[in-house]
Amino acid sequence: MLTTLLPHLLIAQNFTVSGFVEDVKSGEKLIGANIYDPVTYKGTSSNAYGFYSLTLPKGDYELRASFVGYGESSMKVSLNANITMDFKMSGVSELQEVEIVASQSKKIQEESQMSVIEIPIQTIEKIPTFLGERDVLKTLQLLPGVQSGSEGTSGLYVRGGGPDQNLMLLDGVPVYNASHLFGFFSVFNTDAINSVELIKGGFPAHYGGRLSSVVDIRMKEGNMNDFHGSGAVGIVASKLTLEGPIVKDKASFIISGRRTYIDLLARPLIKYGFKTEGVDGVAGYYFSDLNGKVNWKISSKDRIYLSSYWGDDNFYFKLQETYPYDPSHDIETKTKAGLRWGNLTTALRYNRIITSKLFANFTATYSQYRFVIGQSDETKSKPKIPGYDQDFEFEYISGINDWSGRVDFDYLPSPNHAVKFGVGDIYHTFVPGVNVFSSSFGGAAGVDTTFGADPIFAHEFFTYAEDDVKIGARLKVNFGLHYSGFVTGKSYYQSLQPRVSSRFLINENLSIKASYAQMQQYIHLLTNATIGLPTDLWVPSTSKVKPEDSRQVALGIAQTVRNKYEISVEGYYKTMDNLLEYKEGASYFSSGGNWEDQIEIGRGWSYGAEFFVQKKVGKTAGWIGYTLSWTTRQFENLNFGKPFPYRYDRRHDLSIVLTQEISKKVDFAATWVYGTGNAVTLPISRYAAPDANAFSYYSSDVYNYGDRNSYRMAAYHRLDFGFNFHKEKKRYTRTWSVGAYNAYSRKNPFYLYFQDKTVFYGNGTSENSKELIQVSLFPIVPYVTYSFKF
Amino acid sequence: MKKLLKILLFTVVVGCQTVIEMDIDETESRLSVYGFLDPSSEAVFKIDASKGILESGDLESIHNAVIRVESDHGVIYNLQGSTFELDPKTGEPLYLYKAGFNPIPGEGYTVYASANGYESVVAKTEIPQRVNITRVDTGRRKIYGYDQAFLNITFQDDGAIKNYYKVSVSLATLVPIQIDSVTTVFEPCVGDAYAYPSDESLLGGGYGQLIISDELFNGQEYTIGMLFSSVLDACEIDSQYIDSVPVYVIAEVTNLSEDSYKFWSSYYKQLGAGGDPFAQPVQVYSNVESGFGCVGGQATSADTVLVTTNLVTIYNYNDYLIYEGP
Repeated sequence: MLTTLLPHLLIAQNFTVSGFVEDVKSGEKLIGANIYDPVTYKGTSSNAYGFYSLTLPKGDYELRASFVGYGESSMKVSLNANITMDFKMSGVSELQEVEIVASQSKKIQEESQMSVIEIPIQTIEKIPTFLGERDVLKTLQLLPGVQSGSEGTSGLYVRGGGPDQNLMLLDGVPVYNASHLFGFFSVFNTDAINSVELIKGGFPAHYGGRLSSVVDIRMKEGNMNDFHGSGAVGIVASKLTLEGPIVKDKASFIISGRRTYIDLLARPLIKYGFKTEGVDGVAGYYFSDLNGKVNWKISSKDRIYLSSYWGDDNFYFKLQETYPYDPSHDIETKTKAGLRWGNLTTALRYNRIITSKLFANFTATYSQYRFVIGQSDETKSKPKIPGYDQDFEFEYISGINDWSGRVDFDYLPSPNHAVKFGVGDIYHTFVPGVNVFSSSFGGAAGVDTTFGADPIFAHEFFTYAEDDVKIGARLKVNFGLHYSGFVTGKSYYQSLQPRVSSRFLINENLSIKASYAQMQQYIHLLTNATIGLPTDLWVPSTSKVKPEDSRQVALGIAQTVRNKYEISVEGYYKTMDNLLEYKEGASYFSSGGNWEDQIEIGRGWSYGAEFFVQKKVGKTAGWIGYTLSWTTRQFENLNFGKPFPYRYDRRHDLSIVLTQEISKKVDFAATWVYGTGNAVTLPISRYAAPDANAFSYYSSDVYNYGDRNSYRMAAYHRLDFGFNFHKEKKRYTRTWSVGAYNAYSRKNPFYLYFQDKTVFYGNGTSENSKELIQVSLFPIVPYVTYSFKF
Repeated sequence: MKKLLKILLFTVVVGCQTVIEMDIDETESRLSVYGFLDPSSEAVFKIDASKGILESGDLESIHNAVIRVESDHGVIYNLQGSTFELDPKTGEPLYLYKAGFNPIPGEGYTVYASANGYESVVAKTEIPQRVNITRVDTGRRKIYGYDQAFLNITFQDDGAIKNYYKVSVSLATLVPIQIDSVTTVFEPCVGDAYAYPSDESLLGGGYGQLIISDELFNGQEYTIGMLFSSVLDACEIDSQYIDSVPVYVIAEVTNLSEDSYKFWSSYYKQLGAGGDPFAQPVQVYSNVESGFGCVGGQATSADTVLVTTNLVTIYNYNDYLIYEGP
């Protein structure tokens, strides 16, 4: 790499213009904006902190900056020394030059990276959603190569991978359980989000630790100039976001909170229900989350950011009852039970522009996921009967805690090179299941103990280097190496992962792309349910359980048509080794003992083709995404060692997304999705159990399941639509959003089960048989949301 | 606690459900064949017909099948039509095909079965050698604060081949029956032991049984610990004899063919997962080509140990406790 860069370092007549690209009104940094010289077409793009650096020969230039959803910004510069220059860009709503913006946007055919999709946050806000809750992950499910799990859930299955193979980053911090309410809502509050990027393959070397995708979500930084707020009141939840300067143009903050309130609304009804049964009781569920961020511009070269996310899901149940024991005593019993889970993430970042070509970012993060299920019972006599009172308390706790530190550098020696390198370490603490139990009886000291799996400590460290290099006028290659290691107990694993992604320009609007990525994943999610259960358990690689690894090749074309439509077609082939599945018969509810004894280790492969056409700007925008894919798993001890389709093997997956600005005051959006039914395992016949030689007392039937996942549920399809009605008020803008999820009330399959039925005949006899039942979750679900911005 | 979670899940998930019926293809009925060939007894087979999962009615035994058994040495046995007898345990009728020969250890057998209206099936197995039980110890010890009867069975594994074992425990006594004022006769009676392995990681066998492979102790002498809370509820023992009846623990180690091992272990897993909607489905192994069931080989070794009555808990036939071990 040094030999490549050395000639550029030695050219004396080159100078560098560097700075930040930001929104003119809010000061919000724009990530991935294009900065270029329109004469030579040499350019660069802003990094995750809005920083850019462009080195050009000495001379006069009129540099331009462009960004989706923003008007073009140009600035004249005489480059006879290294200079700093910030681009301040205006949103198109102010400029009303939509078509021009489209023509100047970053073009997909020019990027070396492939399998990357950025979704403008404005688009996410327009798309109709379940119960009106905007949802980043459900929007990502509408992209090719990304499959949703079951109805309504926000899990992502990318190119045949599992839900644990996605690196969900919120401001660079991994979020381990990205769902609320068993997956029906994601934890990411769109009001606090600045950008969303999904990478499905051809991973740049600076990412690592997961096999299948990176979802890089960046929070807003807060308005540097003015105080603003926004909020929404919906059927399920309400939210409020406030942002503004702490010191104008120096420091800002943003804070955004959300809470569901069905528990509060239903509380009187539930209490009344308990009362009619003669007891005092209450039960309910809510989730809440809070995003906060402050940033401080210490100098033109130094910035510091502190961001945090806290989210909590809580089921609770309380019961109190008093009844007479004898004529002079009453007994009071109290029962409490609950189920609680949530994430806490915090990131402290320090940016430093070391030179105009070298940008450094130092990050320290903390991430915690915790799941607690508990129950307590208390029995008290009044007045006290000696030896009668007793109490009991039980808690099951599992989770994962990470402390991490990393340093990342961006080095931009010339327009032909964008070098990244860095190093980091994550200190994991896995809590795979701890039981806390205490009890006392009759006033005597009882048991107070903690037992279960011991915490497991592990270090995951990495270093990487990559260069995005232009070779001639047509070829651009992003190549790099990611080295990582994992130490836990006496186990040590390491991996050197080459990454390369390239494009070759056929003409100005069309390029061929190819990529290869090798990935390694040291932590695994044990999950045996189709819904996003919070009981899913994160576990490390151990001496028995090796790290998962994958190799993926992709080939595709990218084209921009009439400066409006981006078209990409990609084919991919991915292999995955050391995948985990629960053993046959294992279940969260029945499994005990060591988790390592509950699993099988196998491999998988996936291949397919993805077609994507997108129009990002204009009054009519949206995309069509289609995926044709095959995903297979093979485990020595599952399906008798034969390959079988993955549960989310989906032959056809189609998404159509349309957003239409009808007028300044009204916009409309609709989505239609179609997917081949999920592959499930069902018994297809039954035969006699082995009671002939009295080997067993059991005489139930044996069920023949045929091949694993050989039965297909019915195809999934759904139409959602919504209207947004905006109105400028004196001091704020309000929006009424109305729409419907599953507009034609399609009964999509959620799961299937067999139910016994008895057929009665006219002669008084009857016969037992079974029927197959499909459970569907949601018919048409309308929504209405009121939101405001000031 | 897990019940609570189930209830919460049920509330969230099932509370919003709509239910519709679906069609599923009817599947062709096939023969299921069972035969666990043990040198200590006559070879016996049982044949039934399978039904599609949506078909109504009980499974039916096949009475008129034709079975041909061929040994590797070319000896052929032909069986036609089943016998009828009552299952001694359940009282239900059994239709069995009795081969009239005892299998020979080390010999391979191929079983062909056919019946009108069904595709013919074939299965192969080999009879393993008996295992040598070297020692059996019993006693009581504290497990999680509870006094438990235990049984240690030690046997020698043959390291030259892969072995699979079924370990089971049962109890026996001699029940005194007073014929007249002078004569008392003793009738043997076998009761079941509620036994399970003391090593929880070995759990997964059936009722009172343990199914394991020699993966962890290939070629070594191995001791399996079984805990049992035992009863002799099937034996009618008059309380006046309770201190004088002998009680025996019967330890059985059955060397299974690989077919038998795969069948039994997967079958018990399917039974264990029954009723848990979140459990992964279990496919039961079958070595019957074009059909279901298992024709497997096995060779059973047993050792009987006389123990004192205070090792066990004895119930009489009315489940009335007449003697409880310490």
